[in-house]
Amino acid sequence: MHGFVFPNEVEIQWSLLIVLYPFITGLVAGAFVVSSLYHVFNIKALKPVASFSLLMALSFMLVAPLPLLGHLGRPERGVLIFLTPHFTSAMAGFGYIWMFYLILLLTETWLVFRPDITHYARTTGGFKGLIYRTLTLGMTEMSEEDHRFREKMIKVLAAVGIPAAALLHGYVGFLFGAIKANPWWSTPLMPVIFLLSAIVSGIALLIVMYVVVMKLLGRPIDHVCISALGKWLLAFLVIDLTVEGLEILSMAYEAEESWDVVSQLIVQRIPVTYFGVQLLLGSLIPLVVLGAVAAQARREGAASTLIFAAAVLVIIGVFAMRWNVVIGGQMISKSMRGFTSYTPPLGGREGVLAASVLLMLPFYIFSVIVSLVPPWERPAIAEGELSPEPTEAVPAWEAADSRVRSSAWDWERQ
Amino acid sequence: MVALLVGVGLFMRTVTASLSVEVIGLTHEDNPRWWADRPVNNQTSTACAECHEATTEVTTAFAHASVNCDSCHGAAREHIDLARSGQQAPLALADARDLCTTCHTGLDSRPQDFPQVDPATHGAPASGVTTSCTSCHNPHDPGFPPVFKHTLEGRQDCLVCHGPEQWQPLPPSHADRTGDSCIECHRPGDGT
Amino acid sequence: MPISRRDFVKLGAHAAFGGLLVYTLRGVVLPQSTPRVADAEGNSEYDQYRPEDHDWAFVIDTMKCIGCGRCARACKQENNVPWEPQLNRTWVERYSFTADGEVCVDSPAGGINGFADEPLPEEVRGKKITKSFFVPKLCNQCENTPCEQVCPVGATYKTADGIVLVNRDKCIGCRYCIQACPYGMRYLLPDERVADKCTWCYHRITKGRLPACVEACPVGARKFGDLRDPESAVSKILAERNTSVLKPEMGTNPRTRYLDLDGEVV
Repeated sequence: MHGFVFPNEVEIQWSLLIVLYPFITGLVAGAFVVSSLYHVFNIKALKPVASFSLLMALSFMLVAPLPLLGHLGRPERGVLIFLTPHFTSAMAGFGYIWMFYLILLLTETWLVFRPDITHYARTTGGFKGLIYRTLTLGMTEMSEEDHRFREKMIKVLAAVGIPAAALLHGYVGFLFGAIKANPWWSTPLMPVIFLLSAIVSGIALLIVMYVVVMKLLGRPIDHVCISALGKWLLAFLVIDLTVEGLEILSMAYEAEESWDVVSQLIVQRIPVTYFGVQLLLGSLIPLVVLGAVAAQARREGAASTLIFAAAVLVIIGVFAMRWNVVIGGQMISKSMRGFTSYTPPLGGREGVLAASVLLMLPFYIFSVIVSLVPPWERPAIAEGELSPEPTEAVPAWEAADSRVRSSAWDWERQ
Repeated sequence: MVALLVGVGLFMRTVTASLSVEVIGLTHEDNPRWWADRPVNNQTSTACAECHEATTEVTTAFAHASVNCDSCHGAAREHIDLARSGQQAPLALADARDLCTTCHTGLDSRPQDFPQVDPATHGAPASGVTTSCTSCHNPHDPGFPPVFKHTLEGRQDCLVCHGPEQWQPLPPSHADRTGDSCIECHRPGDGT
Repeated sequence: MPISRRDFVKLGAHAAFGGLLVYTLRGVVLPQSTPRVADAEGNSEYDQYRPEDHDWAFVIDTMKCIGCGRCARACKQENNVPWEPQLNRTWVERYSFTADGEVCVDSPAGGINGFADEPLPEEVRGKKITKSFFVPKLCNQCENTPCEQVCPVGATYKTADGIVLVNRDKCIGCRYCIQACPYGMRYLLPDERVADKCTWCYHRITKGRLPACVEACPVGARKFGDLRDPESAVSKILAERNTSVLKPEMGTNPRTRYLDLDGEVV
């Protein structure tokens, strides 16, 4: 403790688990945006990761409420957020926004993988076959009408999902940004900053996961895709840094009463995580690396390795950003004259061990899901069981006239 | 559809009730009443007067009228409840010096017109005799000089207060008794 | 069977309608709370109390406070506020101004043991103190309540007589309210793990008594009363003296007003 803090502030209230939550939902939002970039805006270079990112988003989405539940003083009453929400509170939105987005994710994932599920349901026996048959929800065949409906719904859901993802993570930003009592949190830019860093972290983790998974499976990596992801990461990183920079510069320039404690916070209390990890390691170095790779316009192994490295740094940087916001903000005493400190305990409900388990859980869920429906093998397409689908989205007027029948066999094949 | 709704309804009625440690309250109608029904622990002197009328009369008449009995003697509710039911429950009283100095130690932050002293130099310690604040000040009528009949307990050296240069020197009638022991006439305990 | 678009939409509509129905009829599906009663017959003095007839307010005179800490101690005894960890519904701060323009604030154990045996903070020890005073603090019972605004389940609410209370049955312990209070008045009860704060001794004021801290104060630094009563101490002070509030820029519109509040007090 430094300086004078109010008597009730000896311990901070929101711990490591609350650092985890925006990190996890951020990854969901980011991964989903990549998926939608393909499904809605037809960025063809992102085709190899479109379904991959959807599964990644789903895995993290399922884990998202767990850190919150673990943190509540009364977890058994967590259901009250659904039953008796008080809608002036941003936190009351969590229940419905999360549920709505989960349903959207589940529906879109189910629709995207429905051909595969129906194929596997037919061809697999035993217990696994039972799982597939359950997943088909009793609808084991797909007709022409089903295919058209499926394509249309995927597009609709992917489109609706973008503002929904913005809401999912934007409301977390608003949750912090609307607290006038905390000068480090209180800014109207907070939802924007959170959303941008969310997209950045999602794209970065997608790059990392894609490369790691493909390497583990011994499959070739699509360097064109990595290069495209690297460019999108760069673009969002630039916008993110601009907005974050504007916020802190504006605070420093206007130097309102609270700037005294805020500047002490970042210079004396959290300089390593703020300047060292979040800004230098997590933003500036990746910016330079990604910029250099994009300028060189190469698409091969070396470039992809650099992009991979930059992505790893970005993920660390975004985690540090969440830490700096959540923990850093609480370190400032409401007396404006002192700071508390926080070291997360190792064990316990909110300790480092619990947080590590929660972070590893989505990867485990992901591995379970891809063991059922691997997005890099689309047997239903390969074996010609389905009628050929258009690989490129065609405008409605064109579809009405004729189908573009390009080779459906290389859909998502590396 | 109807069956599903009924099922969900029954589920919520049974399961959510057991999930919550307390029964879920949907409205706040009862909650202010819960707060209003909390037990009152600190009492004013009016409650103490029920049994301690004489002391309360003194206290409320003089400088410590604004000091709650509970401030020094502790929260009285339990004591009163027990006493009313016939049981004795003496309140533990902290050391007088600790109690008095909490308010009356001289501090820069205190308003100048508030009576405050330096406990290291105030009163008998200067003469080398250890006394308690209550040696000279009646806590219930703390004005100075003490006008109460006091026992000799803690006041072994009479001359600390009654010596020739002190606060209440011996009256002329005692001029020829300096060598005698005071307690030959002033018996301990009866305040004479 | 293959699912048609119409069936899909119908399923969605049914689910939405069903959810809406459950939400509106949740009073039917959720058990009601049992009222807490004061005595065996179920009577409570509160039944005779009409909150809408009262308008409570608090005035603190910083110039009178002697920093004895009796208020903080009485509050802990009255309201069973935990002694360990050191949590406070009310506390006293000491402000010390040095000759070279430094301001130092301290509140050892919230002022529970007074300040008589507490040395000055290190930064000002040995320096010449030009001005020094005590500032008692307690819940402001804000009219524009940030803690109520952010409660996700509506466990914190404001009564008609102006007090902000926490419904311990509903609180889920998310601690958003603790973050939102600009004055640091709220805390989490360690055993029940729900939010708690100063209630201006609601159980005393609804019976015509004063809050424990007001009664404990030997010098009248704390004043409490009903604004609806023009003869009450607070009504008179507010009519005759200039008062100010803590952190007015927050827009919380507090009911706790201060006399002679120094600009350095936050």
